[in-house]
Amino acid sequence: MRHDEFAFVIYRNKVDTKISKLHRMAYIAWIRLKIFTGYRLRFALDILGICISVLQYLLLSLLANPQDLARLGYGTDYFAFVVWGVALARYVWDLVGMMVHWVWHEISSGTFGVIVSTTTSIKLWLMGQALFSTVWASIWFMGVILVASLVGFHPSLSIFQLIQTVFVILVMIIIHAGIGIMFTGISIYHKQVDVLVFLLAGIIEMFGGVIYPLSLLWNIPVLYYVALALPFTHGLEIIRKVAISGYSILTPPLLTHFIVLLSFVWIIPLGFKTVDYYLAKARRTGDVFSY
Amino acid sequence: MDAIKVKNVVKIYKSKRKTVKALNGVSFHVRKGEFFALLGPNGAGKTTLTKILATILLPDGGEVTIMGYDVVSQADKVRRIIGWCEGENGGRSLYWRLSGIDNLKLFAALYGLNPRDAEKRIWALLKFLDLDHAAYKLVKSYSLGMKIKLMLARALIHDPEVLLLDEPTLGLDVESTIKIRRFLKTLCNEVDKTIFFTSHNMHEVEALADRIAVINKGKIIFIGTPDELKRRVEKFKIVEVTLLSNDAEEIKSKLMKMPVVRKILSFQRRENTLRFRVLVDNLYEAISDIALALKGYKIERIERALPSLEEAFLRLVFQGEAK
Repeated sequence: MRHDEFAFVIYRNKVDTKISKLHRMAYIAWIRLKIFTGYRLRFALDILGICISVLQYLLLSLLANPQDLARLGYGTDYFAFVVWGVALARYVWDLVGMMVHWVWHEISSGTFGVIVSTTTSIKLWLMGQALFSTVWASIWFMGVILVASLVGFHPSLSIFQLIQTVFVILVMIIIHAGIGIMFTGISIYHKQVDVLVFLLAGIIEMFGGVIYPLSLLWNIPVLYYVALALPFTHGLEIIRKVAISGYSILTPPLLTHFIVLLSFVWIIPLGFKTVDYYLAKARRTGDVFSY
Repeated sequence: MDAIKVKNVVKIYKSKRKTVKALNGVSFHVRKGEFFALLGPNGAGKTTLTKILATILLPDGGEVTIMGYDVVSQADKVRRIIGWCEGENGGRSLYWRLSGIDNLKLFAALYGLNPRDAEKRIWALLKFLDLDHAAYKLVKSYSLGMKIKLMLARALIHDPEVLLLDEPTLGLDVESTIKIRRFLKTLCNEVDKTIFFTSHNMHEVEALADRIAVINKGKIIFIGTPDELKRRVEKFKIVEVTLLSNDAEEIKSKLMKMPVVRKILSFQRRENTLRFRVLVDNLYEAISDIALALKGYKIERIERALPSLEEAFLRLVFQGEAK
């Protein structure tokens, strides 16, 4: 290319820098997806992981007593009960874990500092990451449901149940994306916070009612209240009652759970505040690049 | 007009064990359209200063503006007008699992470029930097030179007025270095970009920079043109000798024993010709003593020499001669 041609294209045309924030966010998510799909072995291992965990719960379901479960209002199929729990736990765990993992990846690979120096705010960039993580976690959520349906899980949802289920899942995802944003904020300064993600996953699995009904925790009130302090517990409780037992979200106990779930929306602004705080701290101490 | 103004900038890194003053009252300015080089040994504060200019590090004191915008309170505006390329990390700041073109498209989006404009600019930059043939290849397959060119393209994608280049030619082969130098000179001379450049390479700085600043231990110890730096240390007496001989070691040991020779600055051998530069105390005494000591050798030339930029820089930094 001749120099004058280059100069004409590069410097004599005014650059239009007015694409929407949504466009930027979608592009960030798309590029992240493109990078992630380059790691093929991870794909295979994730599929294997899903199959193993579904089979594990299928075997576990053979030990459960259907009458006990029905008495608690979750139908008679323990496998269906546990598949919803495992699929949703995996959904939020993947969402939060992906976000934290990719920020750590950006910092350690040296791209994070360059992103900070662009005109895209880190908040918008994190929202792009959250969008990617949601898409990816949704694929694995569907993966769990699909594998489970191959071995005996047959959800039959009316349109009304489906709409309510999707709506509650969406609310859960938005709130947990807020947790993800908060954790990534912490990781900008404190770096390896994968442990925090595992801790969250452990707490959700233990107290969120993933493999046993929430009411079992009644016997140990402290644990029961810990469970109620998790947004996941409320979301899962609603989804199970709606998807398995056909309740409406507007029935009083479920409506209470839904209002409590919605009240966790404060986590989102807290997440962004955490990012602002730790990014400013990392810019002061020079930790934007260290890992 | 000043493109960059740095006034009394202080940056302190604190840890539990120690406190390091990376920048200690640094002040200088860079004119619009100027090629300004910042020189200094490792740990002098070059990268810290570049990161402050790039808005990713906050100063602890002082004032820094780029085209009139404050890098702390108006960081968003500064980011629109700067392009930052960090050559020091060998291309780590690129996405290695993406193609070259995808890397540029991502950053075009992060700078908010309209996709149609971005496409035109990306291809123009790739062609001009001879990367168009590798546009769709993954960056992990690029050579170091290609990665650095891609980082330069990325820094230019949004048409910044000021380019911040932190050792962009570090580790490059000669051919790539020459191409990149030519490209940078073009940007500065023909399209009026302001370039702030850090380097260890004196020849590069001499060939490119309009003005240079030398930083050492967080303080600016010299600002001026490369010629001014050389003149500043003109008082140092250097004798350059060219002679025909293969006895390099013997001649070196003779020189080292001479009281009039303070230091051997350089010693080169090409075929059967030796050429060396020595720092001396008394010029005329040294010339006659050296000629006498090398009696019997075919001396082609023995004369007083001006210090090279590299020698001037070393004198300034390591022996505090600026004071």
